[in-house]
Amino acid sequence: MRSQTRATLRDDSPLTIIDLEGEVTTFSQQPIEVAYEQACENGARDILLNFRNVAYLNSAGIAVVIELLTKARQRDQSIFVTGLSDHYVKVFKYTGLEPYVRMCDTEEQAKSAAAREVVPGRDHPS
Amino acid sequence: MDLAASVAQGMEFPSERVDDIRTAVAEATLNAIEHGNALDPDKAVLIALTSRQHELEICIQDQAHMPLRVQVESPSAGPATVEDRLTGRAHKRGWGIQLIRLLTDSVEFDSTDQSNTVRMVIRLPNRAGRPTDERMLSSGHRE
Repeated sequence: MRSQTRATLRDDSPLTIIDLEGEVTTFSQQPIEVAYEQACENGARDILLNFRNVAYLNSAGIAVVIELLTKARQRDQSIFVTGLSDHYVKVFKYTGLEPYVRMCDTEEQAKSAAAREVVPGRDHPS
Repeated sequence: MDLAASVAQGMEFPSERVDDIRTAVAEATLNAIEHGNALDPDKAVLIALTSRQHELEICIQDQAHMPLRVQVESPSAGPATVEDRLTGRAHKRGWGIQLIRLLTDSVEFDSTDQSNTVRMVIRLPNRAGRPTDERMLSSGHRE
């Protein structure tokens, strides 16, 4: 049985938020990719993955996140993550993902971090 | 997955360990279905739970379309890192066995021509938060 994932785009400047809902598994690749590509078309630089309504995440779902990180790195984007349960925070840490994403407790925290962020090579307005 | 979690709750594992058990069982079962049985619906996955005084043992066995020994990376080589996967030096998937190793107290893999078996043990922590029987940590072949 295929799990259902919904990935919905939302703008909350300076963040572009991808709200995830359902289960994040191998079957999540297409909806997450579609949302991400739409975010890129909109010029997103700081992208927040919101896991607050995700009930289940497995190793294949982590691979989907890695795929997104690969593309984000090539496009000089930053990926923020919020809404993970304590268990999935641990899974992100155990798998070594923590240095590659900005893990935030809340959307507001992610927003503040994105507003403060200065990434080398980027032409941020002064 | 839910049955293993229910048994663990009945044994009074703390909730964070119940989550670990749920994830480890899900990953091992997924491996058995996808890789061991190659998604063949006529092949079964057997899950055996053994509850002991201080530990829960979970064995997950497939019907070996593909021997597990070719899937389990050599422990000496170390698991692929996120950087390896980001830069294409390693496949982006393949986190399952790594997660099982990290979330359980011990894990053993056994492969024959008839089946692959993953045997996981999760120990009840004592009040200090450590496994109750420290002697078991050094006995037998462990990953």
